[in-house]
Amino acid sequence: MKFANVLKTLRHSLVRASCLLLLFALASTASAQTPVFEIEIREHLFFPAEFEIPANQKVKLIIYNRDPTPEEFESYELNREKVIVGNSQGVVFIGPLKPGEYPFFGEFNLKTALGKIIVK
Amino acid sequence: MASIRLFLTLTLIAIIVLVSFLSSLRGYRESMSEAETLFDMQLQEHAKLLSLISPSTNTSGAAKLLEELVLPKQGDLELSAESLIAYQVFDDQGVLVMRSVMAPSVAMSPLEVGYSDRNFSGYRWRVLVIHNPDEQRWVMAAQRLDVRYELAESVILEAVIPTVLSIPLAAVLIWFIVGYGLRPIGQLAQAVRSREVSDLSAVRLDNVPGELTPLTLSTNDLLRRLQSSFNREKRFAADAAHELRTPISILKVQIHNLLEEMAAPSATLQELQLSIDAMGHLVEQILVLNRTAPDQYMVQFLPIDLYKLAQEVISSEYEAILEREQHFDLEGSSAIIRGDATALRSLVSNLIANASKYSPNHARIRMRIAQRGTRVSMLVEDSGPGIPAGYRERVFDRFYRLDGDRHASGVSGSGLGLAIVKHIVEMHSADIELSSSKELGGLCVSIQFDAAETKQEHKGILT
Amino acid sequence: MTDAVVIVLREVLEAMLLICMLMASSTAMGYRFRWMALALLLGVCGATAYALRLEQISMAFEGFGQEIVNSTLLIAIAVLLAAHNFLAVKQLKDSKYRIPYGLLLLVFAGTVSMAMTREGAEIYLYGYSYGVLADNMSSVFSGGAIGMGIGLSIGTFFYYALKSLPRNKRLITCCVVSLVLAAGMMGQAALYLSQADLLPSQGALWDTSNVFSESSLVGELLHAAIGYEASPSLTQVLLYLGSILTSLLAMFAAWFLYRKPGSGDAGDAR
Repeated sequence: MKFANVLKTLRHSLVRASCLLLLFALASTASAQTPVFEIEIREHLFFPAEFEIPANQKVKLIIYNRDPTPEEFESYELNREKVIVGNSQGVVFIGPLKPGEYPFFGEFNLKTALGKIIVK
Repeated sequence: MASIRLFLTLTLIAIIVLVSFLSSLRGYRESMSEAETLFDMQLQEHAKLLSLISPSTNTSGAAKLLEELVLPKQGDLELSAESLIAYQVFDDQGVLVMRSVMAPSVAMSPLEVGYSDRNFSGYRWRVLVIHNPDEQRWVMAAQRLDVRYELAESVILEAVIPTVLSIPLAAVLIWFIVGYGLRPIGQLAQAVRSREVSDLSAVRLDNVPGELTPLTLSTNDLLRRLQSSFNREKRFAADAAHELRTPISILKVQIHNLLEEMAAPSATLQELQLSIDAMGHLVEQILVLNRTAPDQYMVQFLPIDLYKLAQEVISSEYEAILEREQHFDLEGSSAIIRGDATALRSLVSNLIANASKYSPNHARIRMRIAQRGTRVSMLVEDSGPGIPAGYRERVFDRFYRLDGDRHASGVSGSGLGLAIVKHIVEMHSADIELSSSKELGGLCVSIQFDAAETKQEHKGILT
Repeated sequence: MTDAVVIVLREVLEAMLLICMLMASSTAMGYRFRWMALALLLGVCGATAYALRLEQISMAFEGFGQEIVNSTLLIAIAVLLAAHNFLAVKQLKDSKYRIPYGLLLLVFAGTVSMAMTREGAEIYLYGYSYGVLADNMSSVFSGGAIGMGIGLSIGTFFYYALKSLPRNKRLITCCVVSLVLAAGMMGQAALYLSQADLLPSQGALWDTSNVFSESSLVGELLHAAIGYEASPSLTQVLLYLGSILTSLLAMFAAWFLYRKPGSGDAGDAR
């Protein structure tokens, strides 16, 4: 029954690791007072299309979708993607980021829903 | 099973899809950027024209509104209202001098010469700013980006959609063409599979494709070698048996004479006579076996009354049965089948001889022949020891004999009897089954023939 | 139209790599594609349900329901892929070993249906709201067909390439592919979790977007195949490597601890 033992220990260590991760995660949420930024989607456009956020700090971004259609907020540079259903809102945490420009876009409207975050 | 047809169809479609879709995607992008350039040039023309004809100063204090007079009627061109260009004209101080109805009253873009994409009035616009130093004018012309895309795409999509729609058609065509191209393989397989067991002649196909020629040639070569070795083997057994017949008859005569000459023949000599008889029987059996091999039997079948035939055979075999004081019954009635009389006689005599030989003295043997619908059944049962279920397949093999208990009875045999029976059964496309007899307790051999079909044939019954 | 192409291609490519790898693997394990029927059925149902219930899901868990569902699906797929590797190694060691059909169904159909749920929901959402509701069928559906066609074609070649390998090599290659796919999934799960602030997020460890931009075709392919990220964070890299390590461990365990039934004490294997 050696094999079952190995599996059991494996499973135990996995559970322990995930518990640790969860604790870690909870600790990190509680710690910082994160600045909040809001953007809106109207007629498949971002308003504001450009805005500034502070560098090296985690930021909470609330995206309001005023259109009846869903939109996917996405950015390769920010490594974020989130579907926001029509007439609702979504929250995305971003950062901490180095200073620079971080374009984002609405994946469902690549032509018009474009914007960028300027980190200073 | 991996299918060549599926593989070819799928990969060919995949290639077509990749090539045509990627190229039409590229075409789409090129056309779109081309259309964009055209729209940009249009903006530029408009802006230039406006910078020349616009009023020099903002006289009234409020910006002059440029009405869309050029349009005939709103209803005539529904899209035109959206596709129209919004204008703004500023003087060098940045005061709005004139604007079109669609344009906002604040500047659409900062006063920087060039193209840019901006959001205002709830849409994303392509904005061109030009500066005319002579007239001291800043002119901005803007066009909605979504409208531009829609316009351009509606034209370009017309070219893309047929490519997409043609793929299913191509897929169906490829499936059938590949199937058609692979047909010779199927034909070759069919030609090899469908032939008779004994047919070892070369495979002949029309229009064998080049790729299949080596396979056809090697198949035919294999068949030819098989045929020659098969012939050799067949001839050898038959020839050997045939050649042995004469010396054995001579031996028989000589041993007969020897026994006659001697006043008191020794036991050894009598046993020798029995052995020679057994050898003669064996050789005869080998000859029958070879003659009745289903793959070389080419005799025309005739209607035969199986019951009558059995009666005849039994009367010739009856002596042996009486000798062992066995009890023999023949039951049933006339039943007509189509077959070969010589072979069927051999079948019946082998079955009776087997039953008699392997059953003890005073045993009971029963043969029943009956017609049920389109089938004629022949059952041979005995009260002997029977054959254990596990050996019932093996006993049909040539020279196979159940050893041990059977041989304890001291019966000599060739081991060919049931092999001959099987040959004859196969030759007549009949079915044979071995089981144990419920009533007599020994072996039960059951053979099912097809009954002769038409009644007319009864006239020419042969036995 | 290009929107539709990009959206559909991205999702289909990711799903196809997974599905084709599993199909090739199942041929090496001596099973046909009956499990695919269940997988596709569950996947389509899952994707539709996910898309229709997206609003409720998004609202759950303080607005991070999407991230939690997505990362749960991704982690579950990664775990099932590790299980696949475990089975594949058993099969490699003992070619006569026959995986119980129920287990195969669980691992293979589970993986595919969960992947399809995630990938399909986005396609459904986009196609429904921008194609059907916005009456923009020709543009969205020709774009979708092009994206789907390219994705399926690449998948076809991938499958036949794997299939052309001899059985053992095929199994090993499938294991490697599954290892990398699972690691990519774990990396993506890490992204979702830090997006929801459930995992600490740090700055990017490196940035290779000027080498392979994630929005380029090569970047998309790399993303689908090995979970390529141009600027990953530490958590992402750790989970990526952790997944590979765990899976390798499971494979080594299968290799060294599995005894062929009949050779030595067969009880060890169970």
